[in-house]
Amino acid sequence: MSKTQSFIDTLQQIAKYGINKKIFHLYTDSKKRIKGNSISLEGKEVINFGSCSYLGLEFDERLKTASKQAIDDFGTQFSESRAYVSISLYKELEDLFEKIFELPVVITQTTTLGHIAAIPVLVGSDDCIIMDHQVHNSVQIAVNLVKSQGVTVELLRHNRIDLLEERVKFLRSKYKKIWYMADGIYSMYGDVSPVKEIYALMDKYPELNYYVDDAHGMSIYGKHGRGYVLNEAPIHERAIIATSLVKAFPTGGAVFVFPNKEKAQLVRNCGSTLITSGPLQPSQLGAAIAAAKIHLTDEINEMQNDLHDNIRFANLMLKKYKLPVVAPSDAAVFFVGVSLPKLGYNMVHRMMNEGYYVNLGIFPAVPMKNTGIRFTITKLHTYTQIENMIASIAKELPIAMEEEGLTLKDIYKAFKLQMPEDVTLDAAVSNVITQSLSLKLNHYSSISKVDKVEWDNIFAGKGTFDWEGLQLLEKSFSENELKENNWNFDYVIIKDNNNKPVVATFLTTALWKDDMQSPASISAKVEEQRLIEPYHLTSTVVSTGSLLTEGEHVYIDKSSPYWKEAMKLLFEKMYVLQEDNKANNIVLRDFSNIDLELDTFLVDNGFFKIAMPDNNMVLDMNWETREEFYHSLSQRSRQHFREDIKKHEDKFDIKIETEYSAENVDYWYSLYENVKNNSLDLNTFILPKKAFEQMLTSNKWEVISLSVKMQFDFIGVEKPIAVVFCYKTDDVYMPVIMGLDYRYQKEYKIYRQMLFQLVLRGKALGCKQVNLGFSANTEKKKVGACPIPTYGYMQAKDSYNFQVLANMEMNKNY
Amino acid sequence: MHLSKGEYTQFSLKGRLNLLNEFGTLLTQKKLNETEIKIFYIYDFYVEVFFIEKLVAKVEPVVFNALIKYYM
Repeated sequence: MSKTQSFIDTLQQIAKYGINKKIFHLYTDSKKRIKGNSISLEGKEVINFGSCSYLGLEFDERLKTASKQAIDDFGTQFSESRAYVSISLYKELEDLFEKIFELPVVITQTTTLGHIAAIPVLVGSDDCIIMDHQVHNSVQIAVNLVKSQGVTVELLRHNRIDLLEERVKFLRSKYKKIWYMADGIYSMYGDVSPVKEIYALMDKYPELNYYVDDAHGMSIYGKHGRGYVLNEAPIHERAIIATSLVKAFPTGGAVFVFPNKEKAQLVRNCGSTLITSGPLQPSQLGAAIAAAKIHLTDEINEMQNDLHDNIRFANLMLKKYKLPVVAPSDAAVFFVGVSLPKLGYNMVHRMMNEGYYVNLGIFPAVPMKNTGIRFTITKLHTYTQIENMIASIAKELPIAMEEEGLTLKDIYKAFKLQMPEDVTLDAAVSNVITQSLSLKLNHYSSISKVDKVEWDNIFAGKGTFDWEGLQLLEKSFSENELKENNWNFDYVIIKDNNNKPVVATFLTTALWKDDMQSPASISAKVEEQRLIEPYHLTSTVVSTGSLLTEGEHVYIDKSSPYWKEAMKLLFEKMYVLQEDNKANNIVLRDFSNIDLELDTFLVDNGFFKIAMPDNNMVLDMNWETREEFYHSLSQRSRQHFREDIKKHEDKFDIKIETEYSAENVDYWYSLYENVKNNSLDLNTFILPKKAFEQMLTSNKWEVISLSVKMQFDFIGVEKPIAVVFCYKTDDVYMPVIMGLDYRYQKEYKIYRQMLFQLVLRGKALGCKQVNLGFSANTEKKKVGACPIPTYGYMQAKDSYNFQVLANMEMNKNY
Repeated sequence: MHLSKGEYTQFSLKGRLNLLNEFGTLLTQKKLNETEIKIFYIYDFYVEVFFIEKLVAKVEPVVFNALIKYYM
């Protein structure tokens, strides 16, 4: 499964769940006319708090009459490209908008189509784009088009103008123009672009251009409703402003505003969608003309004042009801954080029952753990409606939180918001209640503090993380010189009243490369940057298991009725470790054969499913002789076995090493470095030599080596040319780390040979299974391994680094 | 939930009237020449609304409650 597929699966899961809960893909009830802000959904009249028609102009009789008149005069459509003929209403509307903005404009069919017309025309191949990572998806769609022309695209952390300046300083000598692309008002949280600061930077750096989508600012701010950006400051000579006519301006289409006629004409003449896509239709143009005329009167100021009074009232009420508002602003978009999707679904459903329609702000529009109730305020709302809706959120939220096992503290933490003092007190009381529950979480900071028998009863044979394996791991990854080689270890066993483990795992907190699972070509690019910045695109991660272990690290007794509660306690512990260690990500791994219930539970709790490399296991060990093994393989694998393995087997000496001299360890480590440097498929930090030295102190580890016989050695190394460090348990043989001298690979296929020898060794030890680990599925299949699909689940406090990598991947694909 | 006097005065003239319309109670009204004064009680304070020639001229919370008795 590709990462993209995993993303779509998660999206599909969220959508289906929302549809089943009657939150998404709703239709207003048939034959119910819409009047004002009341809509009929699922047989119930609800007050609509999801409309972006902030001024309520869609019900204005002047617009309706003009729209009908336009149909009478021009028909239902005028079907010609605007490159040839437009109806006169277009000209009238353009003139009106030039009066509104006092600047040259181009009208487009939608904002998305407008971006597709404008961006490829404005941005040259020797330009560079820096996108705010929360910029609207419609801008990102158009930017993807210019990527195909080789334009460099970078992401910028949301509204970080300090970082923008740094990038401009760095890029200005390389590119003719640098385009910063942002939203005027962001559509989810309602926060704004710092226009004046950006203009100041533009004055300082002549290469910097500003392309801003002000869809949510149109009509509700500024003279004649010019929008948020133009209300902040007059247009900069290197700014382009896009705005929408399907929000407060209630007709359809979009307007692009330019600092001069030349730029406007360029987009009008060359914008692809202005040449080939259909025009706005007479009914929309008629209504737009009527709306534009209203914008040119004082009436628009009155409407703006009414709306801003409503926004002011909503802000005051949110404060008084002590709700966790994510980014308070004067915009008409509000976002009350609820943290996890399950609480979001619950709340939106409850609000519908209370008679209010609000939006669920959920992944991918916001990070999974930053789910919230998004609502909008329009001029049509009364103060009573606003207060009652907010009071309903305040009333329902504690009930929903209790149902979903969440606290206000969780919400404030998820959004990095300061929790008010009285809320802190409530949380303390809630903690006491939680502690009195029957489950008990036992936490240990070292395996030496965990009962060996108890741990091995749960984990022996599941991987290299039985009690002894972990003891060795702790010694290997402590007191090292480099920070990536020093891990924190934590052990969690959650037991029920009968002292029976319900959930158990070990956790490591370590520095990971964010591109660990990116395609090798992307990692190669990132590694180039790491030569300058060694910790570029790295994050501290709290993970079940470790970077050196594979297997089912999380034990869940699903026969227990408390397993979900126990998992929630585990999450709590992980959140605490995340805060203590200032970690960005939390990862739960490795899962195979996931049932839908667990999957839904993890997604509901804010985890995002990630596909990991398949884990390759030789599960059929019911053969006694090599001949029988050969016949257990598929026909194709047999052919490879004959040609690549059997043919060369006699050329090698296989040995279980017993001499662990420093010289030998140094040499084996150099073979491991060969493998590490040869493949970036699973890009991790190189393991410290100390880990190898530690493995050799344990009788659970052994080193198997492959040396080429002198008469076949065409190079003459006189040393092993392949070496594998393996972990032994009673039933499972686990080759963990391999080293190779690649000079022999092409001639003798030493990798396949070694895999075969590992299977034989497992058999000789009486193991029922040989775990050949992640990646190289095709190679491992040839010695009888089955790829087991493996998944992990992740929560990221901040998804910026992943977006940077996704952006690099898209650049590569073009 | 109550708004304070200070919060009330953040609203535009029309906003203040709307608040009175939705949450206030008209206590009394008095006419002095061309000026009509209406006294409302909203949340926990009084508001004076001044009409001059039937147009709203001023909507302000009453600063000294003791003055209310002169309208009653």
